[in-house]
Order: sequence, then C-alpha cells, then structure tokens
Amino acid sequence: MTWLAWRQLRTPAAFAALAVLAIMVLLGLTGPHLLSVYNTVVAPCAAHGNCAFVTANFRGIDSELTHLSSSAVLIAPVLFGIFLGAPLVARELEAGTYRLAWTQSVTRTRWIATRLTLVILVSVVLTGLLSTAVTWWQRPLDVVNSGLWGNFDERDLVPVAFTVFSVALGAFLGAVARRTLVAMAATIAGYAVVRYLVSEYVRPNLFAPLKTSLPFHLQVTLTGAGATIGPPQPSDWPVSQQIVTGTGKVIGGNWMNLGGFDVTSGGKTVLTGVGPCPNRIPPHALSQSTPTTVAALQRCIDSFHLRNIVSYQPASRYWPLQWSEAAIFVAFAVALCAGCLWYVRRRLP
Amino acid sequence: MSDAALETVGLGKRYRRRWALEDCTLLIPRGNVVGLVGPNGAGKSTLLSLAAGLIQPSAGSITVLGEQPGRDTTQLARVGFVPQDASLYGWLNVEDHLRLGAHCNPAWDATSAHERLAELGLGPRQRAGKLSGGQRAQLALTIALAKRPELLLLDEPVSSLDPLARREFLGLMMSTVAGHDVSIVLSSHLVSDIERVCDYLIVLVNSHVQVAGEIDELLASHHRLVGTRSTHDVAPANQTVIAASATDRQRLLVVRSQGPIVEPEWVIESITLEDLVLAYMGQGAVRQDPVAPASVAS
Repeated sequence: MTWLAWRQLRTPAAFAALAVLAIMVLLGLTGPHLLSVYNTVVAPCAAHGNCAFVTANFRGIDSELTHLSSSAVLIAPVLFGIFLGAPLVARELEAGTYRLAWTQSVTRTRWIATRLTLVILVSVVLTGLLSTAVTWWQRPLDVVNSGLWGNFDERDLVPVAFTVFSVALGAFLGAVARRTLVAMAATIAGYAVVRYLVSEYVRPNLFAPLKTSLPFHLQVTLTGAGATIGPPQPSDWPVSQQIVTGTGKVIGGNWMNLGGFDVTSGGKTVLTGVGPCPNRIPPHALSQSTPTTVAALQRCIDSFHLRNIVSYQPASRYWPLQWSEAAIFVAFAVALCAGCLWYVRRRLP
Repeated sequence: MSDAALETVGLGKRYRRRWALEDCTLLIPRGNVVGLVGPNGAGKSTLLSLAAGLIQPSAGSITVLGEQPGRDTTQLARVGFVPQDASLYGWLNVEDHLRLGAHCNPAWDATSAHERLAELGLGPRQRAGKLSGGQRAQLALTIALAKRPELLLLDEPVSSLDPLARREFLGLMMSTVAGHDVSIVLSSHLVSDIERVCDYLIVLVNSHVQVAGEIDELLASHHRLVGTRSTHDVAPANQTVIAASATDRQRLLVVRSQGPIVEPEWVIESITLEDLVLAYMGQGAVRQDPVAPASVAS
C-alpha cells in the first residue's frame, strides 16, 4: 500500500520540494549578506542612538525577497491542503478509481491511514524546511522591526502545525464533499476562518496576559505632541492597552483619544475626554506655539498623572505559545483525520 | 467453510428514497459461472458492489464465501472485482498497475499476470488512460485474476466492447479460469454474453430478483405454449404463467412447470434462454409490487 500511496504523491511532492528548494537557495545566497550588514552597520548604530535612516535602508535591502519568503510561509499550508489534502479521497471518488483501490487486499482503514500519514509527513518536512529557512533569514529584520511577536504566524513551529491541520482539513472535506474543486474551496475558507479565530481570540488569552501600569508621558513640543506607548519591554507582546488618569478615569486604548484642548469662554481650558485644566492657559495659546504656551499645556497634561495599563505576553512566553498553538492545530488535525477515516470506512462511496 | 459462493437473505440497498435493490434472497453454490442479467438500472451493479464490499447493505444480509464482504484483508484477497468501465488510474501505465497489484495483494501471481499481458500485446509502458475499452477491460481482469481469487465479480465487463472483442474477452476469461477453482459472477444486459459462458442465471428487474437458477434446469422447466386466438390462457395448478402475449392469429404463453404438461389445446415448445429472460423482464417491468421474487431456486 505504501508503494501506491507514494506513487500517487510522488509528482506533486516533487514540485513542492522544488519550490521549497528554490526559495531555500535564494535565502541561502542572500542571508549571509543581510546578516553581515546587520552586524557591521545596524547593530553598532543602534548602540548609540538614532538610526531611523540606517534601519529604513536595511529594511529595503531585500524587500522583494522579504515579501516572497513571508508569503511563502503564509500560503504553504493552504497549498498543501488544497493540492495534497483535498484530492486525496475526492479524486478517487470522481475518477471511480476507489473501486480498484478498495478491492485490493488492503482494508480501507489501512488505505486511508497510509495515504494520510505519507501526505502529512511530506508536507511537514517541506513546511519545516521552509519555516526554518525563513525564520533564520528574517531574524535580523525581526530585531529591527517588531521583535519576536510581529510575525508569530510565519516563524518556527506554528507553520508546520498549520500545514498538518490544512492537509487533514482538505482530506476530510474531500471525503465529505466528494468533489475536488468544492473541497479545495472549502479548505481555503475553513482554514482562513479557523486561523483567524485562533490568532484573534485564543492566542492572546491562552495564557492570562500579565498586567502592568506604566507612567504615560505625553510630551508637548512646538510642533505637536508625542508619546511612547508600549509594553514594558520591546520584546513583549501588548495584547491591549488603556490610558487612565491618576484618579482612575479610563481615557481609552489609544492616546489619540485624548483629542485636543478646548478653550471655553472665561479662559478655562478643557483637555477633551479627560477634564478641565487646573491652570489658566492664554486664549491664543492654541494658535500660537510659543515656549510659554507649550509649557502651560504641558503643565495641564501633567496634572492628570496619566498612566498606561498594559496587558501583555512577556517574551518568555514565546516558545510556550508556539508549542501550545501548534498543539491546538495538531489536535484539530487528529480529529479531522479520525473523521476522514470514519467517513471513508462507513459513509463512502 | 461455506460452500456457497454468494448467499443473500432479504438483501436491500437504498439510496435516499429509492431502493436500488430490494428483498434479494439468493443462494449460489460455488463453482458456477453466474450470469446476472437485467436492463440498465435494474440493480446489477448494486448487487456486485455489495458482494465486493464496496457498499454496505441497507437491509438484510450478504455473505460471500461464508464471510461478510470486505471485512478484512483475507476476505478482500479472496474476491476479485472488475468494476464497470474498468476503473484504472489513467496516469499510471500498464506496468505500474501490475506493481500496484503486487504491492497490495499478498497472493499476487506476477508471472501469470505478465504472461497474460504479453499474450494480449499490452505494452508495459502504455498509459492506462490511452488504452482502448477492450484493453482496459483486459488489464482490469488481469489484475483481478492475479489476486488468485476464489470468486471473481465482473460488472458489465464487455459493455463497452464491440462484438468481436466481447467474444475474445469472454473466451480468454474462461480459458484463464479453466482448471482453477474459481466461481464467477458476471453482469450484462445482453443475453448472448451470458449464454456463451454461464451455467447459472439471475434475472434482475426493477431492483428485484425475478428468477435465479441453473440454466439447464430453467430451460427444462420453462416452456412456450402456442395456441389459437380462441384458446383460454388458463394454466393448470402446477404451472405458473410468466408471460402471455397475443397476435391476431395466435396466443403465446411462457410457463414454468414443475411436472410434465398435458395440454391438448396448446402446442408445447422448448424455450430459448433469450425468450426466457425476456419473459421475466416483461413480468418484472409490469409488476409494481411483487409479493415475492418469482423464484428462489436452488
């Protein structure tokens, strides 16, 4: 049976392997250069201050390959699902070849188990190689960009688990729908929905987020206002944030909610959404930026003692979350494989 | 071990609301070459698929060589199945199909399979998708035979073949199984195919078995009665009228009789297999709600 399962998988597996190999070669050729630029230019610059220009330049070095490799890891699971998973059973039903396959001296249980195992094995190895290569290649960019969490979906372990899930989903839907094209479309839709739900609702809350209250310092300048907002450490993942006043009044999740200053008659000024300023602000302050008016506005803001309450996942939870999310998708896949097995044994043709 | 090749009791298969096969009770001893005839859509494929274990019954029971069909590897190995249109992997070549068989069947007879294909002139590198209907049927039969089955099921194996290829296919099939202890069930909608090779007949019409039995016995117990226009078509107690027809000048009956017929008003003639099958087909088509299958012979 293994022979037949491999014979049916051989050609698509070869194409997929070629594609993965091509990407790996591209990354292998360009990766060392990217890393050396980071080590010789970006990292030393970051050690002493403002490097906006250098990092922007660094991001642009291989921007096309960055996009290509990111997309490859994102869509690889879907491709395996629709091209290897969906036709697994559906194609046999459409072509009528199940009548040949299921009347050899091989039980249907072994037939489907062998085929599923082999397809999942091949997809896992190829996605694993791809994910490893892209994770390695993009690491310097991750440091410059958004740290650990920005591309959680495209790094390390989870893409492999997504692939296992996608292939199992495709095979199951193929058995149920009995049509390859229908199964392919349903696989894409089902995969997208489940991935969205898990990354949006499960991932941030799988481990109860840590909470901390940080001082929120809004700095008024002659040209506008600026503030730094974010998690305690750059490598943490802020799940949600809230600006509150010293008295506990909730302003909102975005400091832009602070709005602006309203000057009322009588010289009183109100910081929109927060409250009236304790100090008097000259009426023309909002139209004329002078050091005096800036100082007056700053005094008003400081009087509220704004704080930022951050819910976040610390960097130390990166690997536990990778493993947990991978486990969730593998569990889905196991359930789908069991469903596929049951369907092939009891409900087909 | 049961000495029945195929035994069914009240077997039925329903697809949604329609019964593809209903109340089918049969007992076919081993060693027969069974012809399963009936019009298209009568339930022949359903019965064979049930016997091959491809589908599960909705009612009743079926045992093949004493076991539930498709139950385990051993049972699967004992039954060879040639499906309608010889379902093959179009993108695999002839050689690959033999490898498939070799890898999926413990008792695979590679030597005879290769010899058979060489005799047929099938090139090992030809893709199954490019073969003619006859070649596909032959390849499917070769795979089924190389399993060395005890029961061979063939679903309309010759329906897509021209008359010469039909004769060749059936001839080759019979010569291959000659000397082996293998039972065969072969479906067709043409009586001539059955007549050439079978010694046992099942007529299936409208999802119901009309008659089943050894062809010699059936021919011996059925008669054509020819009478004049005015003859009454009332049959004595030991006769069952299967079909009755009339032209301007004469009346015609097909009857089944347990004993000798003494009917001075009628001219008694022996019956051909084709007339017998047609009589039962007409009966099955007319009868809306049969009380019981016309016969559960043997």
